[in-house]
Amino acid sequence: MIGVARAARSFRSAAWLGWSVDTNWADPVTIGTLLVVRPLAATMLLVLIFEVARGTGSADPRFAHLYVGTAFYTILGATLHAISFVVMDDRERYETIRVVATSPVPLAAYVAGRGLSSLVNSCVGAGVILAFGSLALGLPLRPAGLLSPLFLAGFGLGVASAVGLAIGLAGVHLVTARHHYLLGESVAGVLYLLSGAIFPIEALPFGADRLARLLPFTYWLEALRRPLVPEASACSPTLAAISDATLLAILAVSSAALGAGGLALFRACERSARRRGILDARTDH
Amino acid sequence: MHAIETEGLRRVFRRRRRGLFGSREDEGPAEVVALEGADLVVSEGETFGLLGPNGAGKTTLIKILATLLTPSTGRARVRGFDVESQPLEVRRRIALVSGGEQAGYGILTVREQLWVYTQFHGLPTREVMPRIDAALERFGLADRARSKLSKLSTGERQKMNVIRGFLLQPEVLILDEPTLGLDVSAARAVRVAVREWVREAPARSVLLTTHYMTEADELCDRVAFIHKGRLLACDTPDALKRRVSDRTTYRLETDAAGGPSGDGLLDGIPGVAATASTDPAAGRTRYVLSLADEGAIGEVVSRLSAGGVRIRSLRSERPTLEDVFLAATGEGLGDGA
Ligand SMILES: Nc1ncnc2c1ncn2[C@@H]1O[C@H](COP(=O)(O)OP(=O)(O)O)[C@@H](O)[C@H]1O
Ligand SMILES: [Mg+2]
Repeated sequence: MIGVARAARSFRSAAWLGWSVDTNWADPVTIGTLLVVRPLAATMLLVLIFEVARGTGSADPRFAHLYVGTAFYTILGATLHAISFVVMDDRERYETIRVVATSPVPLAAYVAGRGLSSLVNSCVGAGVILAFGSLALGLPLRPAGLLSPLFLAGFGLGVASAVGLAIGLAGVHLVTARHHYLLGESVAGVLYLLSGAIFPIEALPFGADRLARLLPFTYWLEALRRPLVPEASACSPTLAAISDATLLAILAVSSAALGAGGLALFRACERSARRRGILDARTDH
Repeated sequence: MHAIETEGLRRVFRRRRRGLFGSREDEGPAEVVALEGADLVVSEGETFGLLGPNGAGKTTLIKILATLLTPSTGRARVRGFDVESQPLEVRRRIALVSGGEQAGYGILTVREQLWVYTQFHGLPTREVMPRIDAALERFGLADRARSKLSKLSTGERQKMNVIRGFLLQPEVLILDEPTLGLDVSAARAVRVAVREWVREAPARSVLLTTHYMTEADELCDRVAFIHKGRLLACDTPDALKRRVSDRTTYRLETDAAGGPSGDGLLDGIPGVAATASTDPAAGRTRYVLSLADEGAIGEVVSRLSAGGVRIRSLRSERPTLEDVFLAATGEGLGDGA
């Protein structure tokens, strides 16, 4: 219990820190860019590509599939990158990791807390993308779906899985040099393709759909699309055939597994880093 | 209870040929023994100095005590807790500050940054804020309290990190070359603060590494030399100096006093060996006196006065820690010593 309380307190302080360091609240232009312009710009690019390639309108369920998938994927991408990158940032740039590592703070809780602001920001960004799609592009979004148990529980479990994976990646950063900083983004990029954010998993080539079926994030996106845009969910018959309860069960198991696995990997890497004395070692050139 | 205890502490670094981390030099030995069987005891209330040149193994020992690095073999305990099996207990009781440290977030103010550090140790905000302000005041950073770290000079940032060490209220303060790169007055402020801090409460101890022998001499109750990973002589600075020589040397300059040995004025004083050289051009005689007992200097002075010789200057020349280090290792301490 004392351990949990300490982890919670560390998480809180680290979250405050991430909030203050990664989001410059004194500068409204930066905030606006971060929360609105950047996510929208990325999504617009995709919308354009879709329109050009298909010549069909936003009523096409495949458009809704892609649009909603991409909106929520941004949260996964941001979480994986932000939390794992804390290790690089605090070791190489701010040089504070030594202070944290010699304090009684559990390092994994610190890393997760420090990345929280980016996670929250990306949720706001995803909301902006969806609102824009609904209001400006005629996306057939059912706002009531946001309050459905499938959406709420699915969202939480999916984010928990993402945080678990991100903590594991942060662990890998503890034992790797600066030039591996793209790890989080690389993993996120692969997941973008494989978890059915853009294409329905049936459309994936080379049997990649079998991989897709192993990824919790595939079920996560389905659990979010289904209540919001049922037509889009129908694009993937494989996933559409899974019941709400099964989707949530899969997500519950995956978040527990990724949470425990990510933490175990992080701790193993932390031990290894302390054994090798590289926990606080800046990469030299 | 001892503040720090190590037994046969040894650390070997293996050079990784194809590691993910670090440089991939193929030159040099495959193994570096950074620490070779260090046995050390730092008592409660003590300020203990580790004095040695660059590469001696100081930081390696410090990192092991701060749980940043595990020993290859041997044991280390801080306040009775084992650094390997009870690292959390150790981290609760230490604060580590390294010289030249620039840690911090440019966007935070000095006050905010220091507050964040105290939160990692679970200190209550209400108690911490007045102490932050007091510490900034005494280190001459009061006017910087609300400046962003990005606006601080490197010296100011380093001072802020030294302040962190005191604020965390450790039982054992670990300072790795704390004055490295600080200007003279900032370095003095740090030394004064260390001395006062350790006296404020009886359970506080300081382990300090340095390659500045005056720093070790001035600040430390006891000093150990470290050289090529081995701990050599360990004692109070005075006792160490007595080891090189139990005699005291004086240099004395007088108006030319006749013959080469000052007319033999100083012959036959018990426990005093004198050599003299006269510089006729300058009209001076210079004596080098080696005294078995410092008290004998009184007899020297009265003999010269009685002989009508005017003393121009007199200074005692004690061995420094550098001399002791030289005697122990055959090597100097390197720059700045
Ligand atoms: N991570 C490391 N990998 C390889 N060798 C190291 C590492 N850290 C220190 N060393 C070597 O160990 C020796 C002692 O280093 P260090 O403890 O930093 O000395 P000091 O702090 O007294 O200057 C040096 O020869 C140094 O090159
Ligand atoms: Mg060093």
